[in-house]
Amino acid sequence: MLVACLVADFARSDASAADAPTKAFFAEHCIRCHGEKQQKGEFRVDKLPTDFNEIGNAQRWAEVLFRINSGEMPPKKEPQPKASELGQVADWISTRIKEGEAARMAKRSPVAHYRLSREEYGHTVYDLLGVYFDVDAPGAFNEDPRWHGFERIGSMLSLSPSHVDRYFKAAETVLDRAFPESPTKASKGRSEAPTGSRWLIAPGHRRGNLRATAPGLYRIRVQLSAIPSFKGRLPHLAVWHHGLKRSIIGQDVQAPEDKPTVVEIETFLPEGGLDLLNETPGMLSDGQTPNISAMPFSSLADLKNVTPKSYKLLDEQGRSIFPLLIVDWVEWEGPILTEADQKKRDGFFPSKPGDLVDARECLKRFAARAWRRPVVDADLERFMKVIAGELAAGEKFRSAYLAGMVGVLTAKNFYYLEEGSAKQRRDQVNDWELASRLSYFLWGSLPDAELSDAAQAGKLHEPSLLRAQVARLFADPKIKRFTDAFPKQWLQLHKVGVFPPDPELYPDYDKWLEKSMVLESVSYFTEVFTRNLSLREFLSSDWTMLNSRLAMHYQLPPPKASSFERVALRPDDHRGGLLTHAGVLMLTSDGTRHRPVHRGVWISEAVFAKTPPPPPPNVEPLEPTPNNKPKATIRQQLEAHSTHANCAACHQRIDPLGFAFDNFDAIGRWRTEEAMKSGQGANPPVNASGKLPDGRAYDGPDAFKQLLVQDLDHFAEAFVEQLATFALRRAMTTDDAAALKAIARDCKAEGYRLKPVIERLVLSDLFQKR
Amino acid sequence: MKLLCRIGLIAALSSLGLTASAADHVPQPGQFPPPGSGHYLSGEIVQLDPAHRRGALRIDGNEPHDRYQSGALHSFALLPYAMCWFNGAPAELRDLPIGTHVHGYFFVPPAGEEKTLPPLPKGQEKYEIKYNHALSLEDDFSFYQRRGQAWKVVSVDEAKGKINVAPTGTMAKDGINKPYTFDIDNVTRVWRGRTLVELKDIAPETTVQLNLTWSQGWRDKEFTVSDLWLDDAARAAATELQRRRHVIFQRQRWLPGWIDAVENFDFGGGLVTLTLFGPMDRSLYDDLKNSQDKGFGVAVAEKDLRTWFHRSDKKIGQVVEWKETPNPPPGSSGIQVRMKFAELLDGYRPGRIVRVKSDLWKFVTIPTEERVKSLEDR
Repeated sequence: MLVACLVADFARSDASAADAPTKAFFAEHCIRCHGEKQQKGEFRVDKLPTDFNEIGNAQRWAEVLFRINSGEMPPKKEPQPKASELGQVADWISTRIKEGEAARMAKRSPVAHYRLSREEYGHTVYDLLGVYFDVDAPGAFNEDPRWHGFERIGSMLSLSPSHVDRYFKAAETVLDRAFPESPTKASKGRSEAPTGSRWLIAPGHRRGNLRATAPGLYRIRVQLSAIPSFKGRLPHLAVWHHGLKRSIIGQDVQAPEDKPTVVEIETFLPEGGLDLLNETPGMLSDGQTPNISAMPFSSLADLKNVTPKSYKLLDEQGRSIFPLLIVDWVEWEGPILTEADQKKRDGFFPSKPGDLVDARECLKRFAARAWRRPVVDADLERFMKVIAGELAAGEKFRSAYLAGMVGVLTAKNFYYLEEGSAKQRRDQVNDWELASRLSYFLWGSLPDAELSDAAQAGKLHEPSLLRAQVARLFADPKIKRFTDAFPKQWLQLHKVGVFPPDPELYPDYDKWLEKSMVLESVSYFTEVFTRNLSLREFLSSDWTMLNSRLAMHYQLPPPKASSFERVALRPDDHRGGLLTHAGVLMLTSDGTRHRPVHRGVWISEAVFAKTPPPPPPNVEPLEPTPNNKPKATIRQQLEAHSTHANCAACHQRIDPLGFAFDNFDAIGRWRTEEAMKSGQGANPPVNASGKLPDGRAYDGPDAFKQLLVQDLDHFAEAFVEQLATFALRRAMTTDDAAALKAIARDCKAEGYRLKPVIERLVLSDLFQKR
Repeated sequence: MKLLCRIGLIAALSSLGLTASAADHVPQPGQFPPPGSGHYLSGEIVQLDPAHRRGALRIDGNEPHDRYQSGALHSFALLPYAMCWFNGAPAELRDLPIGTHVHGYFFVPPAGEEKTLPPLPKGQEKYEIKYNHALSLEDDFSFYQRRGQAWKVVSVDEAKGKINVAPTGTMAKDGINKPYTFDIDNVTRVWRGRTLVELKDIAPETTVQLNLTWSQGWRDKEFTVSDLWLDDAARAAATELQRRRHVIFQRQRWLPGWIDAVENFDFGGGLVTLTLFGPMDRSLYDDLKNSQDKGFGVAVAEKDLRTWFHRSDKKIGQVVEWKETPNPPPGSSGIQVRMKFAELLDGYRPGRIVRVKSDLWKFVTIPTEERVKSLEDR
């Protein structure tokens, strides 16, 4: 016997360690076997320390939680607690464990190191040198570990030998591109269909044979017609990379057959062969049916006279079944070095080969910019020695100098954001550290010259200047990095598509829909930011951001533009707010079925910033309904499952948050009945009604969202916590709670508009606290 | 005037041995003819193009214009759902030997297919019969046995080469349904059980089935008995042999049918509903039914049931629904299958012909003449 109770010593040692009901629980159900008189399993809980910041204590409490959750404790022969009592205790332990974990994660030594995420590395080298480095390329960098979706938490981003090795390779590559031995000339190319014909690019097919001779910025121009399917699905023109075996960029296009248009795409491309791809679902190629791309083609009329053994491209009314691209030619040019990118490199490379004095000055400028702080001569000595050593070994000056620069980019000063001083205990960040905090928060990159100048002047911390800088950062195009990264991490959108939907159940699902799901949430956040709307819009709205593909998915009229566009919603559309975005609804599903419990956990984390206790191990998954049993919804199965007191305690609080969205299937489509393959009888109707833990009832997702809106103050506090986690690169602790609450409270008068919320966070003491 | 024309036509048809159906049906793609429709014609097979399911008959009856002795052959094409019968079992056109006397029901050409068959030579137009698309062709054995009619031997005169028979059982509406004298000679195959026996073994009062062919008597509706089956065992053996031939052929070429409906998916594939032609041997349908879970291969085919390269020019679909309707119309098996495909071929369109393969059947490469090579070759 293990579990026991504290009470006596517990109460003596820390009066606030447990609330009254929790203490009563331990006294009644645990202490007799695991207390002073008996120590079954050589375990007593009454002496278990309640300092959860200590990992050993937290682990022992986790063991207690596990035994309670699994139903092992209290033993069956002992009086059994009520489900609500179990829930309270589990919640108390779980909350303390989480607080302890956050405190450990947020613990700061005299000098705190926060490693750049790989995305930030990419932005930083681009802003530093104007060099595009594909951090997602195979072998470039390891994927960053996430903590509740956030991939920039300092305590998670450790450094291993493999990181160091990759930093070396990356630095060499980046610098070689920035300062090539001979100037890289932009190459041009053109492919075109033979005279009198056009390229027919059916779904999943590729043509073009483009080539990026070196990584960098490319401009691609394509003359094409783009025919939607008979159901209005638009062709999606993508650029496919042969080596990476994935598309790099794409966009929906539409142009009549007799009025081709010219599409221009500017994008960063890795080196290698490329093709134009019609990235829409549909045509496969099994190697038996003649290849569509090999078919002579000049117009859609040709398709009326194909052999019956060919793929079917026109329907019975002569309309195109699929979205089709009909391409005349494609031109490409790159890598393009813009004046602005070239200018970034000014002053970093000595103008006179062999001039070591100039080299030192250049390296100093470079290191100061790369390390985001002033550099003293002593900092440079080891790099100058590297240069001297290389020269002594017979290397050419360029090569030797680049070795020194590689040293700068592989120094911890570069890939770590450092805060604090080894010699002086500081509770506040200094202006240089503040500049980096702000810049990496909103731009995901290093401070620009103006921000650095403000830091240099020692005035950045002054509220008026800081406010002005925030406004400037908001207005800069680089803010897109924030409006892209934050919603992805906050909403855990990396999980969209992790479980590919069952093609049998969801044949309509495709990669562009998957990308569009993520883009909807990102575009939605961007719209709220750009228009400076209230946080309320995240919970409920009468609009959303849609492209053609998502409109089709939601059974809404397609937007006029081929890209994302704000569209008005009617109540009958059952959309609005983030919670009914298909991506959000999908990331909590398993590819086959929706998962109300996961949806509940997600809402708890994203909306309330509260992580429920973990499930006990070895929980049996819900099996599909046997064919000889009546069909039952997931909810009905879960309700049967959670009648067990140990399960019910947590599920009563988690499940109602997920049941509210039972009207949405595993890929976020609206439904009124739950379709399933197995089981007898008709598909059961969806029941999306329920009660929140506080007793408020709802009937359906719309009513549920209104309940959340009524709790806007709480959501605002939770949102500020998420924002602060992202900005400060650490978990928030109970020590931060008051500050977070105060920031949220201060935003209420302004209607919780997004920009002031961000601004108040930056101007808060919390943001400048170490 | 019109009434007179119609009376004239009926008179002409009657003299040809033709019977007008109540509904003068014009075949339509995707639509089976109503029960009892079609114009009855009988005659002897004199030309065959089995790969294209075409041939020519010397039509019974000498009217009008001394047709039997001097007229042009009647060219015909089998409709896609047309069935042949030989020795009491389903058959292909190729199974009917040249010289076999057959009974059939015919329609005017489907709209747009009026030129499928070549016109008669100049000067022979008067012999033209518009009903040249067959719904069925049956040898005498099959035709009478399937309608419940047999023949009772009255007498046999070996010296004169004559056999007198009288119809027994349920009288066939068309064909010969009265006592008749046929020629018989020493090449007539007489079957008892699985054994060939002699003319002398044909005893009066024996109930027999027979097949007919041309007679040297040159008189209208005079026939020679080519085969005669004396007992049930003989008839069953002949039927079984033909049934096996039919089953093997269909397993190699796959079961024909046509597409009733298609739901195209713009994300790939679609739902196809098809009806199998018939009635063919039940074992073939059972093969499909029993292998539903493996899906069916569906090859695109032409109106003459030729495929392209069917083992390649097909897609395999999952069976969503298998539905059987009793008492189907002529040409239909009564079996309708709904299938889901990941990819659709251009030939998967309502009214178009397909051939359907069970997973239980081996893939074979069929002879070149049975394969369509180009759009022009159709």
